[in-house]
Amino acid sequence: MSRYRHIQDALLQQTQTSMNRRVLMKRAGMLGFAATGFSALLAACGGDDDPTATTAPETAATATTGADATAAPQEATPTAGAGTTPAPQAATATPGTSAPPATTAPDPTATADTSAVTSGGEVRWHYGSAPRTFNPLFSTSNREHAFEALMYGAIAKIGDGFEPMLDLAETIEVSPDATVYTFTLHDNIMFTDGEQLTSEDVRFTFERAINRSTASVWRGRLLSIQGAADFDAAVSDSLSGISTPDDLTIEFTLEAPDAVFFLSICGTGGFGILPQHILGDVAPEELAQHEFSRAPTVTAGAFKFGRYEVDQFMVFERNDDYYGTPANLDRIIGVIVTSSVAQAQLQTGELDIVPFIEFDEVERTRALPNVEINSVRSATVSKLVFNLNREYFQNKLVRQGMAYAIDAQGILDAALLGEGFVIHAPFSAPEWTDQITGMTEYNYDPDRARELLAEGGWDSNQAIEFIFAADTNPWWITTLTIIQQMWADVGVTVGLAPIDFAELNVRSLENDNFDFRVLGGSVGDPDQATATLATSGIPPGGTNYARYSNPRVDELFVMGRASGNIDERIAIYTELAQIISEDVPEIYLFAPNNISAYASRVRGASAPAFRDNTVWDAASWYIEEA
Amino acid sequence: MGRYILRRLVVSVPVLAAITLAVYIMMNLAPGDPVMAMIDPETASALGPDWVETQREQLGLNQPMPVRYVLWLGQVARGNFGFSYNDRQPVSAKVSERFWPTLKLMGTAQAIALTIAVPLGILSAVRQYSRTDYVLTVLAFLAVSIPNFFLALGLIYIFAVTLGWTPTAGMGTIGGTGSFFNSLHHLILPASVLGLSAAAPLIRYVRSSMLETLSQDYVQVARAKGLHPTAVVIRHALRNALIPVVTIVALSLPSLIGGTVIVEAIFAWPGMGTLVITSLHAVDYPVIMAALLVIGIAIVISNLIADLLYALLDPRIRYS
Repeated sequence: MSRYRHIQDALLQQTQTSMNRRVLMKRAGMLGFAATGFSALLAACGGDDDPTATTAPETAATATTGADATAAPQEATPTAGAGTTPAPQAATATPGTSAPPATTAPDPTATADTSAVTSGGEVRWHYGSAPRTFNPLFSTSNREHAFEALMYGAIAKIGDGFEPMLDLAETIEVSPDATVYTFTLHDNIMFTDGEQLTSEDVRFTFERAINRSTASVWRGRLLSIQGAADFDAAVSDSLSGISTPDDLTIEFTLEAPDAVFFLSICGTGGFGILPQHILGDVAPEELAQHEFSRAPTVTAGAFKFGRYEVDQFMVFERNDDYYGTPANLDRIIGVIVTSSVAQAQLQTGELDIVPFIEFDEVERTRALPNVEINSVRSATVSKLVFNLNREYFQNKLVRQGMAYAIDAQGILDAALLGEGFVIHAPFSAPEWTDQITGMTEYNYDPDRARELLAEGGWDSNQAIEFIFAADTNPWWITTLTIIQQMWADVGVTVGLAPIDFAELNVRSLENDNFDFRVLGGSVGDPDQATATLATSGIPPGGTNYARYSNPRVDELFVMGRASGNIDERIAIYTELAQIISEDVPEIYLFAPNNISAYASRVRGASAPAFRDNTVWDAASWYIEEA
Repeated sequence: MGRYILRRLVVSVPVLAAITLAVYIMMNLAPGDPVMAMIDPETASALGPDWVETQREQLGLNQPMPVRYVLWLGQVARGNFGFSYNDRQPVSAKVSERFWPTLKLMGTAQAIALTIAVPLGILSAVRQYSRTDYVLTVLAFLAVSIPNFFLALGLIYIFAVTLGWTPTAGMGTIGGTGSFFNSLHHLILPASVLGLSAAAPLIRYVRSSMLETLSQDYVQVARAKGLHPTAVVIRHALRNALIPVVTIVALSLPSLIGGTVIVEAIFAWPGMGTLVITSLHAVDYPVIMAALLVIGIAIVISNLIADLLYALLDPRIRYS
């Protein structure tokens, strides 16, 4: 049994014996991590899925921020280098318990010992491509969500793992039937212009997100809120499902029990809260092009907007009026350069953090003085997807044979320097999925592959091809080239067809014109595999590229989404993974680690599992000059 | 002359309109959808069935292509380039904020190219088949053969990483005042990469043009009259030798506006090349159309300038 399971059981026991919050968190701190039965669900925030469960969890939930200075699991001296700082303080939301009163206003950036922490200076991190917008309503990339959560403040956000943590909210309370979610905000949150951030700002932000005219990327995730459909259709002026009994309390009432709603309002970074007093008079359809979306000057996060130089860099200054402990640094700067230049800048000291290092650059980067490499488990699933509409793939023996012909561990060692792990299921995170076992493991066995292919009637004259995005990562190209050779050895001729990303999607979704496509992406919770494996996702309209359909798998996905009990979920997804591994609609290869580089002078940072989430803890970064 | 210029400008209007129509049709025939380009298919699918529809409505993409083109043309005729599909910012602002950085980079690069190419081309021609000529020829071919991105990364490695003389990228020091010298410091490397690449073929053009001119009778006469060799080359031969070079340079003027994708990307230079390529990836029609229209105008004008310069350099050419 993993440590997470012990932690969950322990916390459940604690809450059921009506222990007060401070003692509870202290116990949690002793365990090193605060996790609950909800933790499984919370991790789904890591992706962009729309987790909308329809059935009630067994019990109600309670959560508090784990940022209690006296109880949070912090290390004594936060001077360790990047990647070695304390575990994130995960929010807890356990169905089946009543909410304890929020007695103290926790300090979101508190550390156990601040004597070694310095103040001032700046840190520059590699941002990649230019941001589309600075308005969370319209951001479509996880990287934008991450800095927006830092700049605006969100009800909850993701830390360095797969678990979310409360941010602007101090507590969360969930009704026993999981239809009412109540958040209490910290009582001293101020916008940078001196106005207080209240529950009305939260309501305003959510209403704007749901309003169809806004065309926000968040809209689809929030339609489970009561009255959202009427509000959406402009039938109603306000959302009946969002109420604000007082300035600090925001209550969401849902149309139906929804065990994963907390995830919906989390996102990878967090859903930034907008100032109503600034944007209240702006028509929803004009918000996207409003100057605020380009230069948000009124926010409530640990850092505030400084300036953005088009295609060059963006500066975030410390917000000295932040409700928690102000950030240590004066500013952080996101630098927009290509990855090859980022490598050079890391060497010259112009960059301090590069969130993603290509595998073929790892050794060279590791050799740089004053740079530390972090290799962190990710939620990424790398796989090959069959088009099951192809007649020659319909016999599962053929698919199994092809899977046996791939030496995934060998490729992982050769192309990814062994940084990652081989997977046998459509998910690899959060950590509790390690307990899912019993799948058919297609360990490299070319003889078995030949047998199965012959048994399945594979015609070795049949030419097939991989389609993949031409600008994919170099390690993918290496991987495919090796697989091409491995398959040739067992009589499968496959061609490599790099194509434009748009064409890739048109061919695999609209035109149904492909044999194999490559797919890689973050699956932070098994529920997120619904999109690619449930019958409901078969195109058009969905992203079940394989066109896989199995009624039992569909049932299991529904059951898994509805359950708030981690044991139950493990059992459900175990059965699901076993069926999938037998059917092989996709060949699962590995979950590559996220490899990042941090200058040694940057302290107090913890490299995240979601690589786009680099700035999640920027408030606690500080500089330690040699 | 005035009437000639006016006639050329008037003729260019339907040419530009035809260019925009062709580009518009081709863009619409290409695979990809502006809304789907904003977000990956998994996310779009998870956001609900009508998210894509809402976005399409907001962007006006639910109308037929010919209608959209006519609406766009009407807008442009009134001086309005519309809004970017990608970030909803005004297209004119997006183009104009990248216009000057591009002009600055490409203008400097062109100046570097001419400063290097004209004297070296003349030298190469005057000393034909000498050691100097061979060395310059080899260097020119070497420079032509090296891809821009390789030269850029090589120069970054030498001058920024190893020697530390220049910054690796950017238009100015982050958080700096943006002074002239700071700006120049950042300009040196990207402009040199582009300048060297452009200089290499120009050296060859100048050389061959000069060789041809030097063999003309009037040059022989000038020499026979006992004029100083430098005077023969500079005062008698150069002017005529420059006519084909002017054509080459004038026709490369649109690149001053169009920018260069790879070098801009490597040096984090916020230019038109980067804008065009990111807009192409994002299937951002309004931005692509505006950028191409601006580049089209630049091509028309540069052709006109080339023709006018002929007349200036060669008195035999007259426009009426």
